[in-house]
Amino acid sequence: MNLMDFYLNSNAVREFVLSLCKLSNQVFEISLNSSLVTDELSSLGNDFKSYAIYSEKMNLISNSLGNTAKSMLRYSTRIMELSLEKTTLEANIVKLEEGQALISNEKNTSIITQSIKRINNKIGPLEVDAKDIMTTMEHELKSFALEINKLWLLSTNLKTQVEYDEIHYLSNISSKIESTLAKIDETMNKLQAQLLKLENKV
Amino acid sequence: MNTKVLFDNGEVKWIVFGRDNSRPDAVIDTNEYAIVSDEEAILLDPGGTEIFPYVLSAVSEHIDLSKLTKFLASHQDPDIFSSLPLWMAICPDAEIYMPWVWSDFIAHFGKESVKNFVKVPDRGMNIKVGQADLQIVPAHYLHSSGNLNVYCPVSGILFSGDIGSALIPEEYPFWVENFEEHTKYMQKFHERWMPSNSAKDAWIRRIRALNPSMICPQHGAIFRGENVGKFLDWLENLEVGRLDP
Repeated sequence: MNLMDFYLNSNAVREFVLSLCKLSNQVFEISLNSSLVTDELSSLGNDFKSYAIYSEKMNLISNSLGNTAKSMLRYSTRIMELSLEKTTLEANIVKLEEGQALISNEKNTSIITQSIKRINNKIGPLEVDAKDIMTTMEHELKSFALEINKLWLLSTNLKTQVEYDEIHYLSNISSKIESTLAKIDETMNKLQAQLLKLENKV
Repeated sequence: MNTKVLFDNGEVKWIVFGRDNSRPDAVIDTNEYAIVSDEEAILLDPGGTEIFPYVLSAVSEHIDLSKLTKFLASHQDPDIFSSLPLWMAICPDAEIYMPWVWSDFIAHFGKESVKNFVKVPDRGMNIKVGQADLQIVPAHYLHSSGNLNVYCPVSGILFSGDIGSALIPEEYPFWVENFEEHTKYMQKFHERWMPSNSAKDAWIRRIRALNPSMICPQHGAIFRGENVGKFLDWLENLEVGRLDP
C-alpha cells in the first residue's frame, strides 16, 4: 500500500481531524469556564487573579489548536483529491491496456504505449505532492502535540489550584477540568498513533 | 464490435462501429461513426468509458490513431463521450467539438482537456476534416437542449445523434430493412426522450432541405434510400414529449 492509498483507504485522517476539532471545542469550553470562574471569584471580592492567567493561556492554546485542526482538514482534503486523481489515472491505464490487448495494428499499439507512459508520468508528481503534504502534516502534528502537553499541564495545575483554594464547587469547574483531561488523553493517544503511521510512511 | 464502411469515394470515408456484443448488459448499445479524409479523421460520439476498449480496438483496425485529430460530442450524455480522458490520452492535441451550452458540463469528464474544446455556437458551423467539408447542424432539444448533428455534403450522410435512435434487439442489422416493423423499436424512445414538437418540426424542415442519402443515429439502425423520407414523415406525425399513459 502506498502513501496515498493509505489515506484513501482509511478514514484515519477524517477521524483524526474530527478529534482535533472536538478537542479544540473542549479547550475553548474550559478556557471559557476558567474566565467564568475568574469573574465569579472577583465578584466575591477575593483576590484570585491567578485564574485570569490560566484563562488567557488557555485561550491562546485553544486558538492554536483550532488553527491546527483547520490546517489538518485542508491537508487531508488535498490528499484525498490527489488520491482520487491517481485512482482515476490508474483506471484510465487499465482501460487503455484493455483496448491495447485487442489491437493488432503495431503502429497504434505503440501510440497507446506512449499514452500510457504519459499517464504514468502524471502519477509520479501526485505522489511527490502527497508526500510533501504529509511531511508538513507530521511537523505540524508534532508542534500540536507540544501544545496539547502544555494544555495538559495547565489543566492539571488548574485542578490542583482549584482544589487547594477549595472553590471546586464553583461552576462545576473540577468536573469540567476532569473531562478535558480525559479528552486530552484520548486525543494524545490518537495523535501518537497518527504520528507513528506518518513516520512509517514519510 | 462490428464495423461497416458506409461510404468511400477515395476522398471521404464514413465508417460505423456498433452492435457491440462485448459490452456489459447494463450498458446501452451505441453506434460510433468515423469520417476519414486524407490525413485526418473525426470520431462522432466516441462513446462511454465502459465500451472504450472495444471502440478503440475497432477504430484502430481502420484508422491510424495519429490521424484522429477531431472528436464531436453531439451533447453531454455519458454514453456520448465519458471516454473523453481516455481518447485525449491517446490524442492529446485533438479538437473536441461540442454544443457551447455543455462545455462546462462536459469538462467534468476531463477538465485537463478544456483547452481542446471547440464550443459550437447555436447556429452550428462548418468544419474541415482532411479534404472533407462538414456541416455541424443544430438539433437542439432533440433530445438535449444543446444538440448537434453532422452533415457531409459529399456523401449525403447525416449523423443524427439520438434522432432516429431505436432500442433494438441483439443481432439486428446495421440497416433499417422493414421501416414499418422498425418503428416499434423507436416510437417510445422518441415519445419519451424528445421533449419538443416545435423543435422536432423545425429539424425536419432543416433536414428535408439537406435531402440526406442516409440518416445515421447513435443507437439502432441506419436509414437509407426511401427509408430516409419514411422516417422524416413518421417523425413529423409523431407527438413527442409525452409520458407513457
